Amino acid sequence: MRKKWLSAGAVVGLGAVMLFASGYSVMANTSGYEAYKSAFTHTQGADSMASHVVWSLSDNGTKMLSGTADMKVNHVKQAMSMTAAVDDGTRTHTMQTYRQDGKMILKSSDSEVYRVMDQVPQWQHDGKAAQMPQAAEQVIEALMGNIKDLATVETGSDGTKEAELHLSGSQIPAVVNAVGSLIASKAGSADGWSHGAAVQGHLPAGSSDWKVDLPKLTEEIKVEQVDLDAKIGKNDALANQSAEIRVSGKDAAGAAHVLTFQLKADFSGYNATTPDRVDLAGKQTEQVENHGDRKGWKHH
Amino acid sequence: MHSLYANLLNETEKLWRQRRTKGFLLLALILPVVTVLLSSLLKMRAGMLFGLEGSLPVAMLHLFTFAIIPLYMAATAAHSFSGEVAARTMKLVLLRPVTRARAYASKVIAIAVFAAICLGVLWIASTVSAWAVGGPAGGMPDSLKAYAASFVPMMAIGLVCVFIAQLFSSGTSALMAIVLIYAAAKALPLLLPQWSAWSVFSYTRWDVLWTGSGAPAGTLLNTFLLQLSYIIMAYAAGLMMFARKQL
Repeated sequence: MRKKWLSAGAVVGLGAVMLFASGYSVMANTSGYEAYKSAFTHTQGADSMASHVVWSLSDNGTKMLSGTADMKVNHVKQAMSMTAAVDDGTRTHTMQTYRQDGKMILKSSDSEVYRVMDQVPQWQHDGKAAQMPQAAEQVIEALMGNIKDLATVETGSDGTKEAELHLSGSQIPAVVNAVGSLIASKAGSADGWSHGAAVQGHLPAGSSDWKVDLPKLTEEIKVEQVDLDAKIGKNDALANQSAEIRVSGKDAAGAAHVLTFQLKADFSGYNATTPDRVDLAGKQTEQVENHGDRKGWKHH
Repeated sequence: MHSLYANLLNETEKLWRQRRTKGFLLLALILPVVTVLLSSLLKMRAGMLFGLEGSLPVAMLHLFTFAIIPLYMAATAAHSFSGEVAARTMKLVLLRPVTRARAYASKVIAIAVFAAICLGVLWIASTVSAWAVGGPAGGMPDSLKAYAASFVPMMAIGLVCVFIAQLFSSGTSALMAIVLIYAAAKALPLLLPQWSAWSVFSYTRWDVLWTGSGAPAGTLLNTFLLQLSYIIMAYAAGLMMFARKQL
């Protein structure tokens, strides 16, 4: 009887040793996710920075819509400037946005009028971009579950880190798949699309003539691939971030489509960026009321 | 070895005779079908999409590994160990020519068998119903891998349930304790995210590490070893208590 006890105890002991060894390795392995999270926090917390964003949306490899955005933000001076361009293949639309002296100034390439908003939209009142609340972060992390373990990080010889998270097929959480399918199915209707773009600030609201000929997916919509890659600089903030999302599906006529959204953002000039200013003297201006520009979180 | 096999047959038969087991397997058969029907109905009526056609097998798997299979295993472990002690039928098991170690093993294997059958039924039902509404068949090897991988965390959780059941001599209190512990463990990542990597209950979605491009081999090995260590500890500790139980 005593011998049995000993052997059973030894087995439990062995299991405990194994648990500690593997548990520590598992904890060390979540570093890909942790490294990215800390870099993301540092990026958000920077006093000033410049970013250059290039994005495109293509259907079966044909570019449907693309755009660039150059943004300079300085949270201390409460100033920012942004030049965004959207290209639908036939024409380019540019939009300039400034935030200076407590005013938002918008100018589209369609007109010479500078539109001035006195009230700075709600989301910028607190100086810094809205931080995600701690509780929300933990809920998202809990929902991600084991997906966190898929993130990897590699440290280069120069001290920079490459973090990546590649999800494909069944790894993509059902929620992401549902939301992605919904967006892909709604994106085809021009109405829904231009509204979304206006919210992002790339297009002036109400430019109803702006139509993009995106396919309207109705069947077998599926988020195929989500690739997130980030390079973390030596200052432990993001140096660049790229994302690629692929959604496949069929339109009403049964033709197969693969919509690909690509985004690449470079971040530079941490704590050393001064946004551009626009001198309104002698220029045509128009005062506009700011109405309810409070949708969602606005990063950077 | 024959005594193990004979008692395994007994235990499987006992579990099969319970309404709980049949309901559990029926749920695995019906839930994917109902989900597909509901989502097609919504799509036709309201144009709402859930993107379920492609991901149904894995979405179902995560629902089952999160709640339904652990709950079944908890109820079965509670009934098969503490419940039988309370009903005084445990003596009947031990009166047979079978050692306690083998009686324990056969009870554990019987639970594992039904968890595996459930995973199989669920995979077939969800793959067929996804295919019936025109889901792409390309993800089949991936979802099969996901289902196979899910068996490991289910075993780890099942054995922890069996271990907890040894501490009680009434099926109801054992079940309540397991459910409370499970709920608390599931809430742990919300409170102490950094400790959740240690908890066996945070690996119910372990299958995502195996499908698609997959996790690095080191991560797969480490997380597997972590679950294996829980399996070993829970099995040995449970056996130790079962072998010494006064009836």
